Amino acid sequence: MIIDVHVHTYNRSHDALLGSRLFQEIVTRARKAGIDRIVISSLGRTAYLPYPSSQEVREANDDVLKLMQEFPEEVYGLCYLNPRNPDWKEEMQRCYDRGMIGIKLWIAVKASSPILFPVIEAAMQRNLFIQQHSFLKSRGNYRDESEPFDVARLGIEYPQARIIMAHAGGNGREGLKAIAPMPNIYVDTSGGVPECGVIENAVAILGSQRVLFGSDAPGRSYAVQQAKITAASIPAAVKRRIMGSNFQEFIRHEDN
Amino acid sequence: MKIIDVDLHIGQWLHNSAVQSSLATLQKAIRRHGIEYGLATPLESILAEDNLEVNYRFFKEIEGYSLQIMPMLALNPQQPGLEKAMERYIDQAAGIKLFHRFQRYNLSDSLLEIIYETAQSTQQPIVIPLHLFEERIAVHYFDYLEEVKVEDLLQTADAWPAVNFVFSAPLPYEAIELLAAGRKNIFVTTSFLEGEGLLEEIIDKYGVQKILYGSNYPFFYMEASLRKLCSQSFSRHMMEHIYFNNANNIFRSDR
Repeated sequence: MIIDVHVHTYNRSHDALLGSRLFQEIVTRARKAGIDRIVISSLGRTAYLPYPSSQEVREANDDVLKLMQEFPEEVYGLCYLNPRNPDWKEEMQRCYDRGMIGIKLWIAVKASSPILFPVIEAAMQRNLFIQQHSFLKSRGNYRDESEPFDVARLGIEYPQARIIMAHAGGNGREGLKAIAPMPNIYVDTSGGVPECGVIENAVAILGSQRVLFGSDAPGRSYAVQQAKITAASIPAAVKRRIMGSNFQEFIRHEDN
Repeated sequence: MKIIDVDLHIGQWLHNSAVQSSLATLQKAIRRHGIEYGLATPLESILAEDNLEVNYRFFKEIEGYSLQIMPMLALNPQQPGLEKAMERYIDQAAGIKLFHRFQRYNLSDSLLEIIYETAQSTQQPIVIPLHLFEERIAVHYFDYLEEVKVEDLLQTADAWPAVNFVFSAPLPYEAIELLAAGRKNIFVTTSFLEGEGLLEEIIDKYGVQKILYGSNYPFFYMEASLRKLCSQSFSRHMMEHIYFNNANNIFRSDR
């Protein structure tokens, strides 16, 4: 089973680059690429919104709920939150009640910020995992964009929280080393160019069980991002783990 | 289906030990992936201090390899040996390669006129890589890298309408800006063009003749670039153009 743990919905800002696409195409294209299940979030209906209002968050999550309803066998939903909004908890509960399995955090708040702590606690109470964007940019991150060191601090603060740090390639070796001591932090392979060595580094630093396949489609291609794993110089059994079974175990852990 | 990969490099990249390729490993890789011809450039040419020296080494080394690997003549107009390198290797080369962004010069610099004139008189295309690696995290050594200025690229192409310019490895929005300008002598490669629906959109809008296949190996996995095209809903006719015909028309692989 191939599971892509990092997918977004098409939004209006994609039109210029990717053409006007049917809402459902993100699922049908995954199917065509041989992917069995996708874990999807929306970062906004009009564009990727870094500090979405409560209304914008609800719209984004409604889009994911719609896909979950239409493709119940293929789509897992993540609840996008802006922890700065006063009603984040109500939105988390609404998404949880409708079957979402995790929380998506982008760049509204750094992962190490205490603003985030109540969100993590509420997520843990509901057995929801956290997918946290992170990047280690050589010319500096956005104001509230997490670096891997922020994610590592969050992992120390909440060792029982299950966290997926997004973008193995965007965090570099240094970033992967920062989260290596925390067994509750996984990394997904999403985004970035298909540069040689990224997956090999992730496996060497984190081991074969904490690396999860993610594409970051539609901004990235399902096929290219899969090839990062299939072409990597790692054993076939490890590739299979990354492509799906690691996430299945991760989810089972949630259930327990 | 025949494939020409116009975006290949030889050598080791100091900043990522996983990025390395010798002529022997490249030959093996292109055979394994069913590539008919590969147009290769030595990575050392980016930092080389003499045009003649670096091309001498490369063209000599490549003599022992199959004709499947076609050498590009890498030139830096700021370094010595430019005229001699062109005189000696222009006829053996598949095209001229300029790394202006990485070598910090402007394409409109008068030093380049001799290169453009030579390209025009010999009908050699000029390939200009716009990106090589993930710049958001890897530019420590290349801190000086500036944004690609599409306007400058268009001006250069306009100044030399009889020369074909292949801008290799543009980012999606750069490729779209380049193609939207509608210049006859501008082409782009696929290596950095990624997104669900992106290539379909580009081909719909600007035609299939403008796109050449490139892998950016060994920076990227060859398999990733090949799968990018296979996963799209292109007709065989379109695939033949992207994979082979377009490059074959520009680079004259029968040379």
